[in-house]
Amino acid sequence: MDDAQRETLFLTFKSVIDGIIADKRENPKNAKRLDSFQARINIGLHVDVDEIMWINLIAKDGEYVVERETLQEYDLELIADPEDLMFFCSGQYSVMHMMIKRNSFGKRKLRFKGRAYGKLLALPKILVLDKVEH
Amino acid sequence: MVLFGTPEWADLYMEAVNSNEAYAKAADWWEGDFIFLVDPFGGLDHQIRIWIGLYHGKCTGCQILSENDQFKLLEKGEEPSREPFEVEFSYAARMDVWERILKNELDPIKALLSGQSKVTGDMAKILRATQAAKELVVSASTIKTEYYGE
Repeated sequence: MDDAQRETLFLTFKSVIDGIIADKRENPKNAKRLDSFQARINIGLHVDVDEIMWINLIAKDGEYVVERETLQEYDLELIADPEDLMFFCSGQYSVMHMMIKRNSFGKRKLRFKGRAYGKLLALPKILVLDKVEH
Repeated sequence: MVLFGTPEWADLYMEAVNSNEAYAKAADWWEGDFIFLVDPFGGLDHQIRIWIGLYHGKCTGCQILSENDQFKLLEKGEEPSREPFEVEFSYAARMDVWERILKNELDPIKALLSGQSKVTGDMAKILRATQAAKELVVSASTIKTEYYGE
């Protein structure tokens, strides 16, 4: 993956997370949860066998900001193949699926580090799209 | 064989989408036109812009934009003004990437998540339509297409 592709992937993931938060904001039932969730999360996008591209998400006071690189101080560190992570965010892959199944590199689809289990358990409510009946 | 990105190809693509029952089912709720942007690479020396009208599982039109045609990317929630080529989404990639996608060698979502293509528009809506996106590609792969430099 070259620098231009890394930049495109960063912008894609930023727009994925921004899009999900904006979509969840449209449902007033999500407001309290979105406003109260506080976390500093390093997200490793496993883009190749031996290459992880790091981005981070800071959730504070109802604002969600995605930036490049890692945070020195963090609550959670997640590593996943970007495609698996996107299917998790779209609701196609459950947490259980992500924890148990292996990705194309032979690793668990979702690996995590950190002791903030409460924040980890809250993630599906924050980063997974609400189901919509079409 | 039909050359990719020509009006003849656009007509065949519209037919192919409208013959794809899996697309009709996956996108029966979808409303939102696309512009496909094909950036020069290899034997292609200019950008190709393809407008695709998509409404409730059907392709309402497919057209290659000329140099003088302008398209407008609508903001989320923005009402169209009924001018031609107002779209909700664009999907852009280089010609070689498009060729691999249209030959079913590269999944359009994988292309997006490896930084080889980029999409602009409401990502939440796109995330809910990944199967439909794949079926749009399946439709294209049914056309016997000649690419630039072949």
